[in-house]
Amino acid sequence: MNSNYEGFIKLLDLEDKDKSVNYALELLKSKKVTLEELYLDFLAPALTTFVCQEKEKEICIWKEHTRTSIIRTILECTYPFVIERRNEIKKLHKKVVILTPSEEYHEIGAIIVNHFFMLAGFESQYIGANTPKNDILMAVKAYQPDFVAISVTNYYNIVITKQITDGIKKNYPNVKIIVGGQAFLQHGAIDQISHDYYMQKASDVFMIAKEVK
Amino acid sequence: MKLAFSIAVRFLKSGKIQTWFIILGIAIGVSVQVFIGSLISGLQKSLVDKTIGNSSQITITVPSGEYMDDYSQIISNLSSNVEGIEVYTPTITARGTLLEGTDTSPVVMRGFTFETANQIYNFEEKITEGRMPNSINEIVLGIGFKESLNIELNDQLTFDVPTIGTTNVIVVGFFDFKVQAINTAWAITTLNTVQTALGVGDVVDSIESQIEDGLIFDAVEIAALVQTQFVNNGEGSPEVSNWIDNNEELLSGLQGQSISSIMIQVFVMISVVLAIASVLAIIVMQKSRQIGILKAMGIQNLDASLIFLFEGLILGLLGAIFGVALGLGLSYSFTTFALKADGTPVVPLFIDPGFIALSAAIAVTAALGASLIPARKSSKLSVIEVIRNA
Amino acid sequence: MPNVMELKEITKIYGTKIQTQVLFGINLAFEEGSFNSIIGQSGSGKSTLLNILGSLDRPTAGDIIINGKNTKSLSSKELSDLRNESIGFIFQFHYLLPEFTALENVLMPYRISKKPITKEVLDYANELLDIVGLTKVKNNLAINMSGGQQQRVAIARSLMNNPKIILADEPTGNLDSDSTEQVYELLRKINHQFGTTFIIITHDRHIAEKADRIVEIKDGRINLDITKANA
Ligand code: B12
Ligand SMILES: Nc1ncnc2c1ncn2[C@@H]1O[C@H](COP(=O)(O)OP(=O)(O)OP(=O)(O)O)[C@@H](O)[C@H]1O
Ligand SMILES: [Mg+2]
Repeated sequence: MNSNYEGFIKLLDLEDKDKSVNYALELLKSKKVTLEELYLDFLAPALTTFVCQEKEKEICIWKEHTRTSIIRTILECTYPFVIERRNEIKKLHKKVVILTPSEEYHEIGAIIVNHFFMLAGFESQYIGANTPKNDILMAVKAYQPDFVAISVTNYYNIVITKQITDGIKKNYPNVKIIVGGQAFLQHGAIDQISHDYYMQKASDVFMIAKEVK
Repeated sequence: MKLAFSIAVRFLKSGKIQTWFIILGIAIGVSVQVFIGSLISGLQKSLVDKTIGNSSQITITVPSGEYMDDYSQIISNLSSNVEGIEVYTPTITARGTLLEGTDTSPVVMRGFTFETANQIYNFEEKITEGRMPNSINEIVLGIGFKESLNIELNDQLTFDVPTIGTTNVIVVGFFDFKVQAINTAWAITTLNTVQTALGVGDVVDSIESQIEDGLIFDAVEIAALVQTQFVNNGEGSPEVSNWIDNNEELLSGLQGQSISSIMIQVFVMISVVLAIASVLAIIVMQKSRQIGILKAMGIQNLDASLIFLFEGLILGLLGAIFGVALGLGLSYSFTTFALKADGTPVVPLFIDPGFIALSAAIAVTAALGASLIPARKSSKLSVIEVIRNA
Repeated sequence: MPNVMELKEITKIYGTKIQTQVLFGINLAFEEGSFNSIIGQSGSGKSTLLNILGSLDRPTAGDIIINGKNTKSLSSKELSDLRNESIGFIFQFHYLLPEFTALENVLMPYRISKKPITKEVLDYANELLDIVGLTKVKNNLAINMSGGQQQRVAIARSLMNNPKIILADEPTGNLDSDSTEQVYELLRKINHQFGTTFIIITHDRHIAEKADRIVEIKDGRINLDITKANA
C-alpha cells in the first residue's frame, strides 16, 4: 500500500474529519489517485480492515460509526468528480437501479457501486438502503431499468434477497439482476439466488459495460 | 413404578380441591354402601331372630300317637354325627283342656327338659310373674290364660286329656312370648308332668333343636343330614322338618329384600365407578399437556399409563378408608340417636367386618377399573397432538 | 465433523380423507456441534419438520437417521429411550410440568431414564440451574416463575441428560428482546462448552443471523440453506 493510504489512515485514526476529507479530495484533485483507486484502495479498506483494539472494546462501536461517517462524507463529496468523468465518456443508455434490501443498513458498498456504474456509462440510480421488497418492485416498475443491482452485506439478508430476486424474475423477467456484497461469501449462498451476474468487486461493473456495448 | 407413583401423587396434590372432591364422592358412595348394607342385614337379622330365634329350627317328630323311648340315645348319636346344631332338646306335648271352676280353655301342654330347652326358648326371660316349674305338675301359662280362665298365681287347675284322664296342676308362673297364638295356647311344664298326664313312660314325641349361629340358612341341608342318620340306623324314620320349609313366605320376603339391597349397592357402585371414571378422564384431559411433555422427554407408554392407575388406586384407597369411617360413623349415630322408647335402637344394625372389607375392596377395584380407560388414553396419547394443541 | 442427524427424502402428509402435504422430499444433514436455525413463514412446515427430527412425529415417507441409527427400525420404546438420552427439547411455550419445582423439572429427564439420582446428578442439575442463572428460584414451582425464567428452566432441563442434540421450537417466542439475547447467549455458550448440536426454529432474526447456518423452509420445501463462511 502506498504512503498516501498510510497518511489517510493516520488521519482517520485521529478521527479528524476535516483533515481526512480534505486529504482525500486533495488526492483526487491532484490526480495522485483515480476515483476508482480512492474507492477501492482507500475508502473500502479503511472500513473493512477496521479492527477493534482489545482495550477499547466498549467504545469501538462509536469509533466505527465515526469512521463510517467520515468515509461517507468523502464518498458524497466525490460526486462532482463522478459527474465530470461521466460527461467525458460515451453513454450506454442502460438503466441500473441499485439498492440494499430491507434491514440491510450497510450501504457504503452500494453507493460505491452506484458510482462505478456511472463511471462505466450507465444511467444509474441508487434508491437507498433498507428498501422493502414491495418498494423495490415498484421502483423497478417506475424506472423500467435494464439492471437491478443488489448489495447484501449481512448473511441473514440473503433470505429476503431471495424473495426480492424471485419477485423480480417473476414479474419482470427481462430485468437483469446483479448481486454482490460480503453476504455472498457465505458457503453455498449465491447458488440459491436467482441472478444474472454475481460480482465481488465494484470494478467488475466495467465487464458488464463491455458486454452491453 | 416409583416415577409413575410420585408423578401421580404430585398430580393429585396439585389439584387438592378436585382430589378431595373425588375422594369425598367415593367416600360417600362407600359409606352409603356400608350403611345400607348394615341396615338391611340388621333388619333381616332382627326379623329372622324374631321369627325363629326362639323356636325350634330343626324338629324331629314321630307320627301322632307314637313315641320315642330312646330319645337320649338319638340325641347323643346326632350330636356326635351331625355338625352345625348347637343344642337338642326332647319334648312331649299333650293337647287337652284346662278347667277352672266353670271356665274351660283348650291348652297345648308342652313338656321340656329346661337345661336344654332354655337355650332355644329362653323361658326365664319370658316369665313375667312367678317362676319356672321345678317339680311335677307345676306349670307356667301364657298370660292369655289369665283372662280366659280368670286365674292368678298358685291357682289349682284341672288338665283334662280326652280319652286318657285328668291331672291336677298348679300355676307357678306366667310367660309372655309376645306372640298371641302362643300366649293363649301354651302351657309349659316338665317332661315328667306331660308323660304322667298321658300315662306313658319316659318317652318324647319330638326332638327340637337350634342351629349354630352362622348356619341358620343351611337348615335344609342340615335337616337332610339329620334325616340320613335315621336311615342309617335302620329305625322307623321320624319326620325331620326345618324352619326354612316352614317359613317360605318370610324367606321369599327376605330374599326380595336381599335382592333390592344388592340392587341398591350395585347402583351405588355403578355411580361411584362412573364418577371416578369421568373425573379421571377429565384429569387425563387436564394433564394431557404434562403427559405430552413427559413423552417428549422419553417416558415409556407403560409408565405414562401407570400414573393414572396409581391415581385411581390412591383415590380408591383414600375414598374407601374415609367411606368406611363415614359409614361406620353414620351407623353408630343411627344406633345411638334413633332409639325406641325403651332405649333400644329403632333398627338394630348389623356390622359385618367382612361385608365392610368387601365394600372397600369393591370401591378400590372400581376406582382402579375406572382408571383403566384414562390409563389407556394416556398410553395412546400422541405427543405431537398435545404439543400442537397446547 | 460427522453428521448427528440426517433426513432423507422426508415427506409428510396430514389427514386421510382430506390430505394436506406439508413436507415435500426434504433432505437435510446436521453436523455435530453446529448451531443451526430454521426459519420460514408461519405454516411453512418448520414445526412439522422439527417434530419429525425429534421422533415426536413420524414422516409419511423417508428416513431419519439419528446418531447413525435409522429410526424406522426402532420400536416405540427404543424411540422413547433415544429421545430420553440423545435429544433435548425446548418448546416455544416452555412446557414445564407446573406441578413440579424448577429443580424437579430439570431432573425429570434423568428420572425418566430410571437411573438412581446420586449426589453427582443432583449437583449437575444445580449447576445447570446456576448456568441459566436461576440459583435463587430453583425451588419455586414452575407456575410461580416468570416466562423468561421458565424458558431458562426448560433450557436447563433439555441439557440434563447431556443430549447430543437440542431441538428448539421458537425458544424465545414469548420473550422480550433482552431476555431473548440472554437465552441466545446461553445456548451459544452451551454449544461451545459441550459441543451440543442445536437446531432452532426462530422468527427472531437476531437469533437466526447469529446461527452458523440458516435453513429457510418455504411451502414444505427447503428454499434456502446457507452456512456462514467462517463457521
Ligand atoms: C460500517 C459498518 C457498519 C455500519 C454501516 C453504516 C452504513 N451506513 O453502511 C453500521 C454501524 C450501521 C453497522 C451496523 C451493523 N453491522 Co456492520 N459493519 C460495518 C463495517 C465496519 C464496514 C462495512 C463497510 O461499509 N465496508 C466497506 C464497503 C465498501 O465494503 P463492502 O460493503 O464489502 O463493499 C465492497 C464489496 O463487497 C463490493 N460490493 C458490495 N456490494 C456490492 C454490490 C454489487 C452489485 C457489486 C458488483 C459489488 C458489491 O463492492 C464494495 C467495494 O469493493 C463491516 C466490517 C467489514 N468487514 O466489512 C461491519 C459488518 C459488515 N457489520 C456487521 C454486523 C454484524 C453489523 C450489525 C448486525 C450489528 C453490529 N454488530 O453492529 C449491524 C447491522 C445493521 C443492519 N441491520 O444491517 C458484520 C456482518 C457479519 C455478517 N452477519 O455477515 C461485519 C462484517 C462486522 C463483523 N466482522 O462482525 N455496520
Ligand atoms: N394435524 C394436522 N392436520 C392437518 N394439517 C396440519 C396438521 N398439523 C399441521 N398442519 C398443517 O401443516 C402446515 C405446517 O404446519 P407447521 O406447524 O409445521 O408450521 P410452522 O412452519 O411451524 O408454522 P408456525 O411458524 O406458525 O409455527 C400448516 O399448513 C398446518 O396447517
Ligand atoms: Mg411452528
